[in-house]
Amino acid sequence: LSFEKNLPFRQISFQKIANAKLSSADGSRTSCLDFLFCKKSPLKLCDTQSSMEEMRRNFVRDKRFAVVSLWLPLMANLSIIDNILLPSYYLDTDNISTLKHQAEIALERLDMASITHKRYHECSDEMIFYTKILRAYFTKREIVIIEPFLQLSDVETFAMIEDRVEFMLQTKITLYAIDYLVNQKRYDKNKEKDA
Amino acid sequence: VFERFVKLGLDTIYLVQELIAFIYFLNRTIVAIFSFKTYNVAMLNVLIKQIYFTSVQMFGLFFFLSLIIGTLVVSLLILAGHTLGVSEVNNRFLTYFIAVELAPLFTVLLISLRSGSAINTEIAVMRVSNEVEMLECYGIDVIGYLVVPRVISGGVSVLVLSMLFVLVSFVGGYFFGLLYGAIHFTYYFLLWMNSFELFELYIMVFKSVMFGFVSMVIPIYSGLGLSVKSYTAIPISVMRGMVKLSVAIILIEVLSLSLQLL
Repeated sequence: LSFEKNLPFRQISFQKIANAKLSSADGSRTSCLDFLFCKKSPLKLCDTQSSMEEMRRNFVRDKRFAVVSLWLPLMANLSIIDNILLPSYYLDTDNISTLKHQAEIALERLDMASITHKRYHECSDEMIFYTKILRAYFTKREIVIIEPFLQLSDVETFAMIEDRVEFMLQTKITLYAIDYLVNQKRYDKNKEKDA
Repeated sequence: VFERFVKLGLDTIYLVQELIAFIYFLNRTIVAIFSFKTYNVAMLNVLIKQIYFTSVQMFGLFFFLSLIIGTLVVSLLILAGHTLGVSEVNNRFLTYFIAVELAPLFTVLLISLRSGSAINTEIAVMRVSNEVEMLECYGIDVIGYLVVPRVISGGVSVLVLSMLFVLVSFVGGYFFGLLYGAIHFTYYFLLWMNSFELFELYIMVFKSVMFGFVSMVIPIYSGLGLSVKSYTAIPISVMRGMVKLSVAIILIEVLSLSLQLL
């Protein structure tokens, strides 16, 4: 993906991160977004911590994109459907009933109707991940950025996610999946094995 | 000696900075309370839940404790009045003491112990687990969504439960009076009503709302202000929050008594 063309990434030297050699241990422990936001900087890319912190703050408050990351959890005291609709409840108060109906349909299509009123600790990693995707989707923002690998215990489940996020790609929303090259290679290797 | 002065200076600067940050937080909270934008579906959902957790859930326990404490205090004061032969003065003192002093203080102590500590822990956990940052990321105002509903529920709960305390004490005192012979309910009711002044009602409402406000604002501020994002920092945050809350409750009580003296 050409990150350089997109405004939020232009501010940060992402190309350097993409070409950097990271050990698999780093890849598995550090969230890619942590890296992007310079919460952790093993490559010493953050010259001035304060300016990067400011950049991170601006990044997360940018209303053009919704982020799906391990770093951004679901609310523990809300049910799955309330988590999905939380930003809508807050920002789009006119269409609550319609949005609720749409969220119920989306959960049904993802075979997750049974967890509609459950809390996230009663759900599997995959279910939590899909819920986060739906939450991002329902914000109706232009871009959704997802960070899939670290949120799942098994990289093979990414194949399932590929199928499930199809409906998002058919809409006007742009979807970016970002992660380390090392994870990408692990995933490709698994795919080859399965083939 | 020089090092001690330096330490004293640094401590003072730290204290002033803390105070300014808290005043800024208070200002944002008060502005948000009176802002129309704050009141949306998400916020109202939280408000209903918070009122349920703070007042409805503890209703049974509160009623039981109020009945014991209220009846005992009313009974003791009535007996003391009769013994000393100052019933009329005593009735004035009784209504004042129960409504203005005991009811709000008893209620805020129970709410602080139960809900204040729980809210401090909840917010600190949310801070550690990045839930607060998630809200910011999705454009949700943390003050409007997390702070305002809890603060309003605190004010409403302390006020309503204080009134309940007064009512329970009043009824408890009546039943105690029955033990000592027949007492007419209307006479008893009028005795209370005549002893009660409107000004005292204002003080009670104001005190209850203030108590409710601080019993929520201080624990929330303490939870949000977690310096280290670690689960081990949560007990320290709760401890500091509760200490500050105790000091604030005493300060409000002292302030209220001082104002009444003037």
